[in-house]
Amino acid sequence: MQETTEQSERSRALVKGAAATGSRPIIELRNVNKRFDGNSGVENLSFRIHEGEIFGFIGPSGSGKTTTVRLMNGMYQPTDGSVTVFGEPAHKMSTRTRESIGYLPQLFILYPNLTVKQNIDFSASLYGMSWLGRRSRRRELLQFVELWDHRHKLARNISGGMQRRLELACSLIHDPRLLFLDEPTAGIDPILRAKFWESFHQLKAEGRTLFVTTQYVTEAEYCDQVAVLANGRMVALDTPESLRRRAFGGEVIEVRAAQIGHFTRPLFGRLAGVSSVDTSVQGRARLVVEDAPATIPVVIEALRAEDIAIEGIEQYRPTFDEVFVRLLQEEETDA
Amino acid sequence: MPKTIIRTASFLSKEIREILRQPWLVVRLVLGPFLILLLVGLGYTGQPRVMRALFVVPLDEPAVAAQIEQYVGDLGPQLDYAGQTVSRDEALARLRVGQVDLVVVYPARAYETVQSGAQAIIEVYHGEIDPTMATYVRQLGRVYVGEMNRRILEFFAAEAKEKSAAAQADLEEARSAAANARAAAQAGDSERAEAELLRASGSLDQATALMAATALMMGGVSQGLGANLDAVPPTEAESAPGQVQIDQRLAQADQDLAALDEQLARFENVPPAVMVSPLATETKTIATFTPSFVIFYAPGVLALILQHVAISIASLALVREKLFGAMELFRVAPITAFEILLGKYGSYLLFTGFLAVVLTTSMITLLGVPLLGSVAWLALSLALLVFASLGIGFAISATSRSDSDAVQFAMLVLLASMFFSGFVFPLQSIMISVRYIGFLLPVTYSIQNLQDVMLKGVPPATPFLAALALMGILLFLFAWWRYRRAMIRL
Repeated sequence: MQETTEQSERSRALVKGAAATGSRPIIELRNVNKRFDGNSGVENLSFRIHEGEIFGFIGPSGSGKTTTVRLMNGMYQPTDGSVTVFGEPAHKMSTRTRESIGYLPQLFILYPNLTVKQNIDFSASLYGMSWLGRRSRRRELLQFVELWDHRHKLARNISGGMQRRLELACSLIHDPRLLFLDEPTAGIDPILRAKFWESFHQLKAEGRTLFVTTQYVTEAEYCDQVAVLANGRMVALDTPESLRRRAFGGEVIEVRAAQIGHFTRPLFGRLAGVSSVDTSVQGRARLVVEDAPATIPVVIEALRAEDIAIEGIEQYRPTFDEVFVRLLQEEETDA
Repeated sequence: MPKTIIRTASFLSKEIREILRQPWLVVRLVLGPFLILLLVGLGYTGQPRVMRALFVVPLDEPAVAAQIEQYVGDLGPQLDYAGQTVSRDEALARLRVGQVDLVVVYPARAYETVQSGAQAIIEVYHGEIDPTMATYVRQLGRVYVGEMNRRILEFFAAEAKEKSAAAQADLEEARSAAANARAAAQAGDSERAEAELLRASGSLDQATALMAATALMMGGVSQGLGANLDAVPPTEAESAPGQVQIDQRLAQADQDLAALDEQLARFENVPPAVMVSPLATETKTIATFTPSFVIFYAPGVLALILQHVAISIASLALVREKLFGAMELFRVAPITAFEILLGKYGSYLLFTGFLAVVLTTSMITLLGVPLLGSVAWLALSLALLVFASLGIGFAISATSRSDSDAVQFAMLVLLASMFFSGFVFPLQSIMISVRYIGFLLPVTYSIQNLQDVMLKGVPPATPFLAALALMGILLFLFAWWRYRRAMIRL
């Protein structure tokens, strides 16, 4: 019981910590739990997604990302808590609200025996779009996902990447305001992934809201807000930059010098603004500081005073892989 | 070589494991067909259809009517006595509307016909278009007329057997004694004349036995045909003293002999074939068209193919989308289970409708299957068949967990349709409790409907059309309910 209260407080803190964009939230989860036959799918999720932002949901396989998507698009009803989308309970969304939502599921579920064009037409008709209404939109979208020249090919005869782009086009055909993209970049090459993210930013620029799940931690970089999920629980929620800071406790300065080793550790530790020092690799030190640009001159001065020849010093931007690992380690430690 | 064995063994073990992982699939594979065949074995009685027979008797021959009543009890289980009438037209009208299955028309003046040397023909009318049933009716007529002939002969044979041997000699002796008596009487020897007359009387009695046998044969015929016949003339020669009496008796004896001669002459006129089979049967159909076996079974094949196609494609329709995940898309989209189902029904109705047109046209043009009824009735019959069959398919699809489940159920329905629809065995030859299975299959009604429209040129039976429509609607509702449950937000 106490643990639940703690979790709730923590979730509230996470929500408060999320960067406020100033726009109104169109999705809101409050203390959401979803259990399947007694097994927990997700636990105590609370967050808001604001209009016009890209919200990244990052977590390893089985962490509850798809469950969360399904809770938000109305496929699942929460066991506890509430999920509202455009102000309506997600599992009781009106037809009009559903028409405002696009969904790209994790697996390819279009019809392999239909052509690219026929598949997109089918998706359009699911949302009640008339033949005339969808005509120009279809062309526009197929050009957007670079499939216009392949429109007469059967879906089964195009590559995996093309199939994924086709699905993206299908999810956009009815011009939705909110898009749920469940691992849209899974299994596709880095170049195509970059193209996908380029597309997502274009969609954001058009004023759409995107909820994107991914296993590729590096993709967090492209999001406005990122939630990190592990074992069905939300580990962190913030902007990518804030997550970095949070994972490492501040900004990181990397110093390279031949003499750097364990013996230089006390030297760095004495410097003002340095909260932690990592000299585990000979010839390199990583210092966690509050303000990297302000601290770098201090570090240079201190090393010169000790006659240590600096080979290089810069603010280090840890990769999101490192951030993710740190956050998960923190979560495990807390647990 | 060992690597080949290992590679082969990998598939061997994998396939066995996969099969064993689906125990219910295996159980159904075995139990399904086994249960159907068991039911066929238990339910098939092999009994031919009981036919309701209406008898038409000649207006002025009440004896025939009485004899039919008498025979009714001996008709056997295949014939169900449905009454008598004197109007052939009325009987045939009842046959046309299906109130009776057979009309048996007894010939008028049958005895005279036989006496004239011809067989008396019993006409048997039926409306069967099934060549097997038509043959069965013909055989049934022959069997019953044969039985009647046998009875007549038996009657004759029993009586005639004892007395026929010395008949001719007795007659000659009677003639000789009569001549002697006449001569003695003319000579005034009344004592001798009396003695000769007694001898003549005795011989005449024996000759009468022969005539009686002959007459009995004819009488047997007459009995079989219901005629009133005084076949045996009075033959008794009473002995009475006195010339006048003797003359009278002699005159009577001559008259009797003349009558016997006449009887014998008639006997000689009857051909042996008629004598042994005085009755014959002639089977007639009121059906406007008598199809061959191929043509008769064509509507059934059409119904079976359409039902199977409709069930097969519909049974895979929903389960496939459930399996490959399209349901996920449908649940999020603003589409309802009703809209999905209606769209699918529509497309499959169009497809199977097109198939029905192609198959029917092919049957008509290539096999020469006639379309004696209206195209509208045919279209309605086919549409209802497809509608009800799609219902079964969608019901299977909405309850199946995998493709193989759905295909398996579709095949079981096909197997059941072969045996319980009346396609292979007539429905009447299946036990009533097992016959109900057939009533759950659209093809059972549709075979009859299509035969009515195409081969008989009559509209299909309204209850059959209503049954198909009801079945289709109920199955649609069931599939809708199941699909809604599958679509519901969890």
